[in-house]
Amino acid sequence: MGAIETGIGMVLHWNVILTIVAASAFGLVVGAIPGLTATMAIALLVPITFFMDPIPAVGAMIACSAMAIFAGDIPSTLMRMPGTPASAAYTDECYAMTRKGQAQVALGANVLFSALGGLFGTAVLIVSAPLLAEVALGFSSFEYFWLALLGLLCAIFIGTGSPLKGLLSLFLGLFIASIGIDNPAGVPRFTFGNAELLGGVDFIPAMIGLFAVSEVLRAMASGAPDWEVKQTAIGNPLKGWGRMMVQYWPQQVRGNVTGTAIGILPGAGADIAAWVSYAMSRKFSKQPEKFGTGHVEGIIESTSSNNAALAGAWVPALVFGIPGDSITAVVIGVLYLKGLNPGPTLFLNNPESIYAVFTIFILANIAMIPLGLLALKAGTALLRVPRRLMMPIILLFCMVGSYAVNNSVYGIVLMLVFGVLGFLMEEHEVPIAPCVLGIVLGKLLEESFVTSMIKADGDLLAFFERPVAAGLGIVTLLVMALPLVQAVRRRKAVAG
Amino acid sequence: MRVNDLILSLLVLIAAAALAAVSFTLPPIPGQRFGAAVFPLTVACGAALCGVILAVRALRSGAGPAVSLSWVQEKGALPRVAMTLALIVFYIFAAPALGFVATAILTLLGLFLVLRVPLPVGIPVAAVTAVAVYFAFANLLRVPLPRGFIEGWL
Repeated sequence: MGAIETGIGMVLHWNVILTIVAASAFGLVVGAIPGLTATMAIALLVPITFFMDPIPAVGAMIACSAMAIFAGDIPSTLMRMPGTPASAAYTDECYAMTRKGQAQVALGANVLFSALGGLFGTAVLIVSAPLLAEVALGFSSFEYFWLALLGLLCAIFIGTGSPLKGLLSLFLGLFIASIGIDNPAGVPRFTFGNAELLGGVDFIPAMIGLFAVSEVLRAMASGAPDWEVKQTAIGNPLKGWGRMMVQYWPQQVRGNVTGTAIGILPGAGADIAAWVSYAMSRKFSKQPEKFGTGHVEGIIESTSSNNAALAGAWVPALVFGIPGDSITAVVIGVLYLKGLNPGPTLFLNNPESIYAVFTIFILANIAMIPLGLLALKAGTALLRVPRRLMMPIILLFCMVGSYAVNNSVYGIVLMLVFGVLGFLMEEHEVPIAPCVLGIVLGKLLEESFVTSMIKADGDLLAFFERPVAAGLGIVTLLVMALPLVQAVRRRKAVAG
Repeated sequence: MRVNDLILSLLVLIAAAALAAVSFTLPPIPGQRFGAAVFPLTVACGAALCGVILAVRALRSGAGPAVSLSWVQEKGALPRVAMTLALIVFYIFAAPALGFVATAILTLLGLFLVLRVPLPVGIPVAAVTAVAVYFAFANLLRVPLPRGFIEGWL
């Protein structure tokens, strides 16, 4: 019990609570602005977390991401523009409700079921992470190699978009991770004599560039016109909470379970969870004909799902150090910087920090209800902030944030390079998330691969000799085979 | 502005070949068969394979125009993006000499002008933002932002 109490005590400090509230407000603002994603909110927050103690830093990131994922629903309901990609799946449904004059019901459902979904995901995290950590203690380089590879492949083959371009993005990320001297041989690679590159590519400026600067460039290209906000009056969003809880509990539970499961899957996060849950809701619904006409059923299932996924994604992140989505990819980097190296030993050496993380998750999801209701009131005002003023200010934050990582302009140069890269990638429909996962997981993948190859003296079959490794290897190969099976099916369907 | 998948695949193949060529020059770990070159070589092979598949697909289904202009055709879009990149470069070179606040004000003003924000709005917003960011990062978070003539007064 000692560790649990210490963990809770670590969170219940005024400075931690204040940090969480401030980060929540920041997450709500960024999430509610279309084009700015939850991952971008986290990337912009990271330079500030440098100056915090580990617990408030982690707390800020948890609260910020949870709020951003919920807040993405606000513009999607009011303007048919998803604030974050995780809201895209049910944007049309929410907007249809607004057109029917039921914006408050849709937004009320979004607040309530986002918070409940987050709490469900947290419960699963609390129960499963320590159990999994015990199993993970017995893992060797072979298991880690498969886990890292599985995470990367899930991001590509389960995600939306072309798997081929996803793979290209992944290889780019893996190449970027291999720059520098930090490799099994300790040889400088691809540094071209540049001393700054010896330490590798700092992932924070890279992330800020890929997620934030590329978005600023896109806004600049279009001249950053303001959005048209039509709906202004929002009624009482609390109306109908009781009825929805009773009537739609099966949908809510299904959304929670699906979301958490997809979150736990390495590499797949909240956006995919929302798409899957919306499709599932429609498939199992007794009134599928109502979907798309402003029906709250699908909204409940998918809004529960995306917030549940957020907590689920922390399971592989904490237990194996393998990110469940692009947000935890950034978080893992910060955990290393803070000396909280993720992995099963964290549960042994630092259990109080784990309990503190759990406490923050619970607090953040409970706080979502009052803060979310406040955000609904402020939502329309927020969307009226002129983008022509906002985008340049965001760019200034990007530059200061990238500089603060090492207090050197090298960070800003990196940010600029990656900003242009991210902009060009999106132009060519090459997804960014696999590249980011590649940058984060590249070192683990290489280290576990080279170590395993040296141990096995080049015998590839050794990767299947241990039972857990064999199981993970087979799952990984099945995921790889998935697009082939789909292609064959499609061809058969065409021939038939 | 985007190139078609055929040109993209060519670029990927060239990059993969270059990566493989540099990887071959990396020294091995003494006494081991696997060293620094294994991983980048695997990445190069994987990328090359993707490039070939991309090229085959593009050839089969028709690659479309070599370069499509998309947003570049919009009036003023290209100069706006070019100016944004130029202003970031300006910040990188000017900040050490002019100090953070002056450089940030000039950069913000430049961006506001590109977006046609009226000066009576742009000047106060740029000044207040620059000073506020300086206070937040340099005073509260202790980030040694470059100091110039204005910072001495703050």
